[in-house]
Amino acid sequence: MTLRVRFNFSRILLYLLFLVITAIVLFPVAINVFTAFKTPMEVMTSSPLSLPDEWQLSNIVTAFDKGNMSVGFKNTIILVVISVVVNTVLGSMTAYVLHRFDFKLRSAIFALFFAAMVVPFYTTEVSRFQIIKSLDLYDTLGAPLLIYAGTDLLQIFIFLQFIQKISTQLDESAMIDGASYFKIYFRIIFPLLLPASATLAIIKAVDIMNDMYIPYLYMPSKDLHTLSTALMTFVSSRGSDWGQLAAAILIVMLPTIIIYLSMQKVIMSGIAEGAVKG
Amino acid sequence: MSYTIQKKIVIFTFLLIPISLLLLFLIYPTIRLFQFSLTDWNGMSKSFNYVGFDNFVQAFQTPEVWKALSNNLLYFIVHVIFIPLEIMIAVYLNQKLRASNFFRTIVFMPYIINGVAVAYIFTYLYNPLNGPLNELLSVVGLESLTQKWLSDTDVVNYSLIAVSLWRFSGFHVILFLAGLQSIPNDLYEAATVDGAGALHKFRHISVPGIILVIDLVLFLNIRGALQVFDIPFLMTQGGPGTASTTFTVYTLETAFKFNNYGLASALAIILMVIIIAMSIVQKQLIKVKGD
Amino acid sequence: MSKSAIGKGMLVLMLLLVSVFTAACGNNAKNGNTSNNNGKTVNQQEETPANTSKEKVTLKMAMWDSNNDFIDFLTDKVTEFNQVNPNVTVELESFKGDGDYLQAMKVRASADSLPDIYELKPNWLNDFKENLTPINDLAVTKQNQYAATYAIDGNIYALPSVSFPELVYYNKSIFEELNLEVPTTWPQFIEVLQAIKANDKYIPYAMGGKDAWPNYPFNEFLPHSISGDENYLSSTATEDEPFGEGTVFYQGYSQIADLYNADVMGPDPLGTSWDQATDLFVSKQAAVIASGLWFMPTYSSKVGNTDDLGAFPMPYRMTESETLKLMTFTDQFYGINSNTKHPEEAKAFMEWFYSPEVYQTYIDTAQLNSAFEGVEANVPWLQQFYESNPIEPFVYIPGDAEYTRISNAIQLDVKALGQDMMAGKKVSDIATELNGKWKKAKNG
Repeated sequence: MTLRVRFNFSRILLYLLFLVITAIVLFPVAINVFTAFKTPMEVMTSSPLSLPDEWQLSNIVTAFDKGNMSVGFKNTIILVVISVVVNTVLGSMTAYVLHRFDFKLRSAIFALFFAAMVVPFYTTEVSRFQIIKSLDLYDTLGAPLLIYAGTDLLQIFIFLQFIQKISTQLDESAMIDGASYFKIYFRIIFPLLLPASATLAIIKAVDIMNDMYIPYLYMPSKDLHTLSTALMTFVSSRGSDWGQLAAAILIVMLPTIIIYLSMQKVIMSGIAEGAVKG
Repeated sequence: MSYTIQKKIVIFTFLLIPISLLLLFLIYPTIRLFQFSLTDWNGMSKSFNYVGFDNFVQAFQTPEVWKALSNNLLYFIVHVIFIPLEIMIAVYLNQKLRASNFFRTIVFMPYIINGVAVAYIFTYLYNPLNGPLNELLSVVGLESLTQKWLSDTDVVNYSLIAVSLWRFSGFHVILFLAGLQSIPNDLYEAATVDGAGALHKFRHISVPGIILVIDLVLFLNIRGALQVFDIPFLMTQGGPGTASTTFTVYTLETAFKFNNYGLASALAIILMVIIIAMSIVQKQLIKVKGD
Repeated sequence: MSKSAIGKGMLVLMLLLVSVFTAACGNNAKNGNTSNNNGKTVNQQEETPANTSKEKVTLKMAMWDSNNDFIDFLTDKVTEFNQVNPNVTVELESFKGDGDYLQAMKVRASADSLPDIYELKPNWLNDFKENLTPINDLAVTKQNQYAATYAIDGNIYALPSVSFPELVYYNKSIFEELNLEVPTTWPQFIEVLQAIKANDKYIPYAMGGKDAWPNYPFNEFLPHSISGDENYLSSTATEDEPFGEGTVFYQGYSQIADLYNADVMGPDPLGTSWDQATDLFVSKQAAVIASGLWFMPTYSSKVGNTDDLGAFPMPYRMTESETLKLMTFTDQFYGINSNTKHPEEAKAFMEWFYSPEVYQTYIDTAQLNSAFEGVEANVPWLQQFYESNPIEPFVYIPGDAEYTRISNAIQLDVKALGQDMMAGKKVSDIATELNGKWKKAKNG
């Protein structure tokens, strides 16, 4: 092993660039952490860049209680897990059918999915609301679950990329053994699609966790709050408290960051695997 | 069971739920949107009248609509300008760099943070009373750069776009990185043997290799920039005045604050048409470039 | 062959699906009827007899408020109805801001999902009247002092819970330190603020301009007040150009421009939010802030007492020869959903809710003026204010249906105009733009 001592100027510039990027990413997060542990007086008077004099937990405790965060966690987890699983199964089934079979309405279905992708969703809310209402799902977890479960064009494309790589010979030899199309899908196609699913699951999970509009509109009850809507209750038009808000943000942010950091390797390789391989 | 019958059954059963969901929650509401766009419905009342294309005429004659759209355009342009930078960062991350895993983790992190949380964090960063950003600028001796980030009508849109960049650039970088990693190494090695420089390799191997990702990011960008809603809605409510109002914010206000659901539906359809048109243009451009 | 068969199969499937969901989500696609109202009424009649029996009923009630303590109070309070009427449980749903609340209620109105009882602002009554049950015949309606003022075509749709004055608050100690007198005319008001600015120790006026709405004492109320006509808004709906030079609006907005241009609202009034503005005021970094009486409880909970808190009526008048009026706002209206499945229970709840014993606790917690005869709010600070300021109240009355129609059509938002003015937009430009749009919307 030789140690390279040679002074490499461009290397240093590169590290500098990444250190600057790291600073830009971490600065807002760090400030939020500091603020979460400050007293209201400190927030107003001390420098916002300074560490809290004393790391006091009162903001965190109040934010957790007032924001009903345990309920928020529970509902968010239910929504994420169920929708992601259903969504992955539906997405891969759709892609399988669209890739392996040729039928008349195939391109019509693609067109439908494309149309769905460009609809400015906030403005269709009134009609969607009427549907949810008539299905008797208003103010239940069922409303967002049903809306999230649907697959979209982006997903289908990524699954298609993967199915393309699964040789049709596999299907054919299974058919010689007398396997049904169902069996082919569940035994061969779906397992091979799992790496792609990981990426899509992450993206979908992030989308669902971050969505505020659908839970806010369809599940107004307090015991149906998600993390996003719980966070929104901390900000009112007539008065909010930076310290408590920062604490609430921290509570909402921390679990995702911990999960992300601990699963970082899987996620990164999943993305490298899954994202649009030409 | 014969495979012909099986095929019908598979197609039917596998598509039944996805297509029903699609029709129910996206296509049917869109059809209703078309219907409402031809009416004077206020969004609440039991009845409405059909008014033909009046709403579309009115939309095109309202200067505020164009002002809002120009704000969206700004989001689009700045994000497009950042694409080369994002590719560059991805290229550097793809090199054998000590701690490159750490940097990847950092770069992707903003994307996984709750969007509502991000909006509130930045509202605090930008605030004028003991605000962290202005404080930071004065501490490092750049006092002259301090701004009224959210209240100066010339600055506010850039402040909001910066939040959007902070949130999504990392995601794009990781997508580009994934694209770069899928390019076989021997292509580069062969080029090195032929004596190609770094720039040449980038131009002729890297870019064509990730053209699909560029296509995808551009599409996400068109859609994202034209539909941007939560950042201005949560941070400035479109203000001061209407300075940071985007097309979606304006549409929602038309529908729910000013009770004009008909006009809002027309605006939504106009937005759809713009997104489709831009996507088609983009596809053509990529095709030309890709050849 | 098989391909086309599948195609046909798919077509049938799609048709099937379309028919299923159109059946499910409404006969409403037909005849432009956006809610299956007819079906509803029939159901209701069938259900009503069942409801009057001893069946368990849950009533949903919705409100907004900024004050957490008040939300907690009301959440607990409404459950007490269960003790009076064991068959009925009332559940309160609360929102933190009226903007979010309004949007959610409008979406729900479009799908007939409004709560059984819900809160309203006076200027929303027109929009929601189709979704409200007239309550003229309730016993408590006759006790309400303001309900009749807000009747629409003779129907009372909701009962206001509170009435309160709009005030200018000031820190007494700062006024004493700088030797300032309470202003009673608009020019004096600006002079006082300029004097505080000249002293350079305090921010004269704490403006939460970032949130837009805190400029309502100026941009919403000033023209209304100086017009001297409580029905000013409705009367503008009869004019083609109510904003140009020489109009009340123009004069009022010029007064406001004088204030904003005096630069007495700190370094960045447009970037400051309401909660920051109140913090500045509470911590005595700012001398003056204007808002409704509802700010007083917030102040006293933050400071612990009201010893240093002074208040005076906003001096909208230009000279002392005009009468000094006190803008008075009526708010927190509650009405019953016209589609409620439990109208009798909802009415019984209203009677209970506004009965003197229950209402007394409401008004005492809200710390605002009573809207009902025979009940007096227990707010010593306010009584003191009224004793030292004998002024004529001026009741805010929202514009009528025609005013609402035109201002919605031109998307008139006076608070956004206030932000524009703070950002430097000229009154003459605002007036020209508004006149053009108004005239077109009124006659088109």
